[in-house]
Amino acid sequence: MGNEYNLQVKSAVKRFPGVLALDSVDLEIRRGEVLAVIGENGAGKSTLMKVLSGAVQMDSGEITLDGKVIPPETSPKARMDYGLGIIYQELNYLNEMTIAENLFMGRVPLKGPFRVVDYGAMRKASMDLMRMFNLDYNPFTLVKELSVAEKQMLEILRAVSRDVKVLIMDEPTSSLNEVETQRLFGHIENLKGRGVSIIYISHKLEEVFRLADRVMVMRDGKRVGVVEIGDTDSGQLVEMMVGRAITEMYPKEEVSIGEEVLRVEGLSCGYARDISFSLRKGEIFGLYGLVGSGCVDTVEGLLGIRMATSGKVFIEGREIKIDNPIEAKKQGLAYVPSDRKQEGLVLIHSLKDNLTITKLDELGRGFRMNNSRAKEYTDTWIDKMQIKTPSRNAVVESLSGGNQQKVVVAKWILTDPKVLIMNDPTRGVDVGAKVEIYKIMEELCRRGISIIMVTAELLEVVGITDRLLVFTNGRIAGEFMRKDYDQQTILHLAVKGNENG
Amino acid sequence: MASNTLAMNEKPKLLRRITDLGNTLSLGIALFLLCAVWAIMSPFFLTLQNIMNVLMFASILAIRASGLTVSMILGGMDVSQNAVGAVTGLLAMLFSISGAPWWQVLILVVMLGLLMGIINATLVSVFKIAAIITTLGTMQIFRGTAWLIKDATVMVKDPILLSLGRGRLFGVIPNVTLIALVILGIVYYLLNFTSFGRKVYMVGGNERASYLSGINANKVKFVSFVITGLTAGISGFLVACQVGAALPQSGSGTEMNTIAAVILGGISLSGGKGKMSGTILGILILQTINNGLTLQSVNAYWQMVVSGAVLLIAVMIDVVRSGALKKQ
Repeated sequence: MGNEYNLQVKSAVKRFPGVLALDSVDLEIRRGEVLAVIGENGAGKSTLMKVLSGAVQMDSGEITLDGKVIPPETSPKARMDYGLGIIYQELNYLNEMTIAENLFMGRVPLKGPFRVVDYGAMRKASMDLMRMFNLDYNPFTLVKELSVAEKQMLEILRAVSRDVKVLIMDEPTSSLNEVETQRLFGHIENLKGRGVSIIYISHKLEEVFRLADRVMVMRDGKRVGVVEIGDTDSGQLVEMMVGRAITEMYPKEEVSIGEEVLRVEGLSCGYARDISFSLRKGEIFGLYGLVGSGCVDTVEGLLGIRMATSGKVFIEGREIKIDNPIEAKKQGLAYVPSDRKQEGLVLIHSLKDNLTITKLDELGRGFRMNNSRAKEYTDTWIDKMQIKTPSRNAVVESLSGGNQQKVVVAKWILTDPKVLIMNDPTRGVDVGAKVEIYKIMEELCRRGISIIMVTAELLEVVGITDRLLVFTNGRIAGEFMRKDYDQQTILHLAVKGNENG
Repeated sequence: MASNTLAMNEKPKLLRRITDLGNTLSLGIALFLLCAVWAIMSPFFLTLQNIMNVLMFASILAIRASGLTVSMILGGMDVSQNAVGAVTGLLAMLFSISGAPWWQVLILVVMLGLLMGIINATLVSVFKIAAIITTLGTMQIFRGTAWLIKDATVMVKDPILLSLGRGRLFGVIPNVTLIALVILGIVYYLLNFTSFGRKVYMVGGNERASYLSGINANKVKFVSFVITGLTAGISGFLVACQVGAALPQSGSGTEMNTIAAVILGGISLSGGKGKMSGTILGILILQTINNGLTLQSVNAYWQMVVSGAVLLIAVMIDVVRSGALKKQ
């Protein structure tokens, strides 16, 4: 690994209306190196990548690749010719076409006087390409038959086939399971061996430590620092990311844990098998597992969103049957889904409408809907949750992620639930709002509500919960009390189970 | 709340009221301008006689459109309304000439509207068939049924039914307009002042999120399509009363007129948005255009061309105004 850089970015600036998204950011990467770029949501990672790929034009700054300056107005397609490739989180392929056609999209080999497609050449070139990565697919398999991980592989192959020198990967493991992630990391090592430099965007520290040579941390559109992976630890990185020590992030307080509120016995739903646990009054209970480990299936089965194949649910000692979210609500269960925009909110409607959606039956009692009560509820909760909004009639789509999430939480608190189930409640909200949401969770517990939090983020689950279950392969792999929390052990358990599977 | 207010986004209350009215206001202005033009071009346009004529035709359409507004806010279209109306009109008048008194006929009308509404509602909410496909199918079925019931015109003999369709209060205000006002009022109330109305808007805006919030989305859909069927039945019956005859082909080929008026009134095809006031103005605009063209002795085929063009122009103005073109 030489000291010369093959990609250099000098003082990139990008301003969006009202925000300085990139504040004079530098970046340099050596040949055959993996540089991880980390930072919280809104730190500027994505903007930096878009500036590199050409999806967004920077206001000022300079990009050089192997000594050649790439003019800022160069289109994403033309950047490919310089050797700069990007794999987005949302993969980019044609489902109804074959692997080979996808690999050679836009430059299909032709033959003969009538310029017909040369399928033989396409087949051979695809096979050669796949052999480089020890893959063995029929090149004429339809892409829709591949898994997400395989589709991602396709994008890597496509980049390699175009002689990529620097490959940018934007959170490539976000929808992969552990086995697929391992395989992907193998392929990345392979790319490194071929002299390809990788810019790896992630917010999963575990991955960064497994993969990266150096780490660049961003915060508020600025580059906070770059460190060699050997010289740092997760504590330091988190501190760089959030600009404060981790203890401040998780305002954990000791709460007195009461009697049992909810008990689940032998629940099986989707991928989750034979799940049993009990939840006590006023506690925050974590369900921790990597994507596809069964945590989400468990709560969806509990709430009746998906059909559970077996299992019993008890609330305050009484056995109940929940077949749908309507029944779950009646039984005092509340659910904050992970996909706020699709499942949590009616984006085109007002804050008031969204906040009172759970109370429509009560508000509608009598001859006429009680609009003044609805306004009162809304104003109370805007105030209590400190939701930043121009008015109670603002369309929720216009609010920031953190404020939207507060609306989702508030609408459920209105129903006075016994158990609040939160699925990845801090997804896509900035650090400040995260801390606020944690504080709200603490406050709810003090008022006697029990919380089940489903998350795949280790730091979060360790930071905020009183007790947690680790899921692997649809089963419970372990239970921990807060005093026994050890990040290494917990992560190991979550990861190891999947290896065995 | 004051401490959380973002000053830059805050609009003065009056201004906000006006922008909220935006669509209704521009439709109102359009209607006003239209009337001004017709009044200049024809001395007969602004006569009481003519205005009441427009209202008479608009009223029956408006009854049908009020139900359609509910299902379209939910994001579903009902194209079977005219066929529902034909079946209802035919059976009601057959019942009437068999000697049934007018009030029994009215009960039958309501029951038929409800029944056909329930058929649509069941297919849409229980069997989850897309509304437009469901109603395309039932439109054919109901229309065929109408022909099977009676392959001929059924004359209306009952003077009470005839006066319901043709009569005027104090010799001025058409009875159908009064009926329309009552029905429109009820639907308006349902949409704006009841929790059912809120649920229609929420489910139309995001069915999944509403369901996960504990709203029985299927029930909301079911009730909405029953309402749509009921208004279709009533309007079909009133058409027969007005014409003085029930025909199996009644309303055939004009299914899109109501839908066009509702869309002109500003309803979003993807659901969640729309107002009764918009629908009413949409109907009045289309009816006024037709009336003015008739007064100018423009032939009926040209009237169709103009109505279609007006709809497209209105939607285009909306697209340009919302800035959707620039985003491309």
